[in-house]
Amino acid sequence: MGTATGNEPLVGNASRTELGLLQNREKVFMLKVYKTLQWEKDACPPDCLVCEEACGHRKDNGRLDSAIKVVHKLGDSRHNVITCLQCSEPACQEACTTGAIQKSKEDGIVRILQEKCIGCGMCTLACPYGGIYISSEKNQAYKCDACDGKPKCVEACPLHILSFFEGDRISEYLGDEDFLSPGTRACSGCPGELSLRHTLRIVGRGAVFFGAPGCMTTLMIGSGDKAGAKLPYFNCLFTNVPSTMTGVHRYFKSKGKEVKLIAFAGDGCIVDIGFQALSGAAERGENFVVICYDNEGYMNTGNQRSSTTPPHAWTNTTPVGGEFRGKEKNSKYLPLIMAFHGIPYVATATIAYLEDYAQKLEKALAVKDGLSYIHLFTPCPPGWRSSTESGIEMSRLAVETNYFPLWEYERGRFRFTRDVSNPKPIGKYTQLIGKFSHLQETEIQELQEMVNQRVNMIKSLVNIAEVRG
Amino acid sequence: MAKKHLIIGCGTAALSAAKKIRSMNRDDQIRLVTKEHTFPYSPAALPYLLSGRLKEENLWLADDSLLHELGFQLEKSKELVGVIPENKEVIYKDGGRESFDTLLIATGSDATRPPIKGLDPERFACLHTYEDCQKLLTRLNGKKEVTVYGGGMVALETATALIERRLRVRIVVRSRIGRGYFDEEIGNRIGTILQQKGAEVVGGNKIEEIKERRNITEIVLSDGHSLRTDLLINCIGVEPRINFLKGTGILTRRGVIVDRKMRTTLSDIYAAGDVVEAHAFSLGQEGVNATAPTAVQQGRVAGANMAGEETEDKGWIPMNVFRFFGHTAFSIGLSSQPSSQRLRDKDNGGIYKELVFQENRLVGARFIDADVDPGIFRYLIEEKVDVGPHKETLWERPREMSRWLAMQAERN
Repeated sequence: MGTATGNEPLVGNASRTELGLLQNREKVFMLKVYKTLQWEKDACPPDCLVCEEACGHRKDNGRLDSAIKVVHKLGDSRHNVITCLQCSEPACQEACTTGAIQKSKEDGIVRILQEKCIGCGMCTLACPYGGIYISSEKNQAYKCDACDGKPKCVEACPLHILSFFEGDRISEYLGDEDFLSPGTRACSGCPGELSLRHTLRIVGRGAVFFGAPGCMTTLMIGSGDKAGAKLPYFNCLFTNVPSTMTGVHRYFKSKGKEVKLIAFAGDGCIVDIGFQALSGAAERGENFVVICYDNEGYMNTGNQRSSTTPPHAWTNTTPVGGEFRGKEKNSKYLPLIMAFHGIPYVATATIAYLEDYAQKLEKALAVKDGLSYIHLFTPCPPGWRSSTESGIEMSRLAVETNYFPLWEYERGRFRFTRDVSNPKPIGKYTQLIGKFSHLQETEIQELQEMVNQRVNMIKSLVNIAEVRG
Repeated sequence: MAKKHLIIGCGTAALSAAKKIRSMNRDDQIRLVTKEHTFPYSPAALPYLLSGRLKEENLWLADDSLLHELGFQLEKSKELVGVIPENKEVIYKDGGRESFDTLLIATGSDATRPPIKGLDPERFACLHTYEDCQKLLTRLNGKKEVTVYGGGMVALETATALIERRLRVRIVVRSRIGRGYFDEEIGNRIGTILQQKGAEVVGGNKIEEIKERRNITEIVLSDGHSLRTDLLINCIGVEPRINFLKGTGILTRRGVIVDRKMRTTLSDIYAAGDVVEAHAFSLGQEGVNATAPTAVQQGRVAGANMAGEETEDKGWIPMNVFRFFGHTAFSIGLSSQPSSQRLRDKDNGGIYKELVFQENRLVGARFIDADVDPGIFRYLIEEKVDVGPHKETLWERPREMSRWLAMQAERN
């Protein structure tokens, strides 16, 4: 049966001890995400001093100088505030001559131990952000401590420009263990590899993965007699991934086991060749998760067009030159088709928004009564003739131009998970990508219309949900 | 494979380097060896220990538990006497040897001994190490009148600490107060404040001779006057501690010569802090700059390179901050140069300010008792921010304008 590994997973090319060390190192270096004070750029009204006032009264015993400072410049309409950024490697801490400045591991706040502070002023010389000051009255240094989690300035800000923001918590969705062996056989800068690695870390142990021949298969299978992934993996044919999963699911069910089954396959398999099996499994209400990593073509076999290749795009089978202008046909948009199967959960996601993806994947995994489908937009820098480092940027711009809007469908309701009201023009996206480099203004316009049409269609579905709602 | 980083010294540069290595690497061995007998501390905090404002228990930058957490091995009371670069070994005074993969020389400096006739080396008093401070505290017992020799930051901080201890303080300066950082007017302003607090300032005089008879000490100045004092404290400067490097092949002048990666002339041997002659930010020359901010900056660069990340130092900028009797004076960067434009202001309700520009850039800033953020001025200088169109506003409204300029620069 394919190359599925047993319960005691083989480990790729690294020895067990090496992996142990790596895991250990990961735990040590795992970044903790802290809440931080955040403010909207240039949004403050002129002459407003409310936050400074509130900060001055941050402690009950008397008035202090404000640790947040309003920045107004005469004749300039941009107004803002500055305060301590609670740096990860605080310059003030290192400059402190008595070790009085410490960054808390619990909440990330940089605090001053007043009994150690001698008011020498070295910290004020070190901080480039004006985040620390000496009170000449008390001869000691003071700074923002985010009021130990309830910042007074945020409470006071009349326009809600200040907020106490919790950063991207992607690391909290990730298990400690990396299930892909070190090193990769993917092309450098491959967003698919990042997608797969994060998918495995979010799903965690106790799952069986399925796929069909494609780029990510090579990472899962590994090389020679060594598996690439530390989770069981079943490599199917293009045509029968959901059918195979159906069988495996029934086997586990007959043994009384509840095992998460996840397909991670490309658009060639899911959208084109294996669609019939997927449609059937969706209709039968099979309970597993199908993730389609969409790189808009058969990239593993040398860049042939698939049904998700966008119009006008160059591929090896939709050439550019002479009378040819790239793909002539429109692209198939599978996520809506899957939603209209009436399955419990459908979502679109992409790696520039990992937290959004992680939340959607967890929702998909929680479904117990049917199929969940996630369409994962995954740029392919070499196949799309883009620069190696552009993967995340393409992924982000696809969302920001509404080329690939992020939404989810949950039991009859559509919802955008990211605002689509102020999209960038599609040209911002296509200019990054070599397969669109031949595009003329009229063709870019056509692509823009396709984008508008698609997003308007989803908007109307979202609106239906709201009207009903 | 885990490497062994041996760091000689345990001051500001040494700790910054060690922390940088650790932030990049969990497994490497980091050993700090110091000839001193205590936990690490910053010499910049010693005047506060002398004044009594800082309790001894709060002086230490790290204790056993913090050292353990960071994975540093600290060896006290061990003095380096030599380096054998070809064996990658160091030799200690007790005869022991130790090998290393990378070596950081962060041995700091010694207080400069002025050429004073009759100065007994055994009775030389200064404030450079914890031990000096302890000795000084003992010797100050029962004393009423002390003389501080020197007009630099350490001298001024020492004088301030002694005034706070209610001693009568005389400051003898070879030229004038604060010459290294401030011009004459600002220096005089600092002198005036100290005088108001009871200090006597004797400028333009060297101490030629010291005569000690029983409990009476007499100093003879270069202008011929003799003054009686209970104790003479020398604060005329520091010299890099490099005598153990003779014959090793590591090139030294006044200090150890290093490149922008803090490498000495021999491979895998680095140096940082008071001990080095390194690139300066503005002049492009080498020189010794024995201050805490420079030690932090150089230590970080040395640590990064030792751990394998190639980083270059942007060069040291002379800077310091002096806080005394509720006043704050700070100085960053160049003072007036022939090619520079200087805007300065005399006594303006006690507030002094001076900005030095070269073309469109700020290259120097000095303030007394102005409500500004020193670090932001440091940023404008270090990041070479174009302040061209805003010079006048920066001068008129330094606090608002410096923040605004830094904020705009940070975005671009």
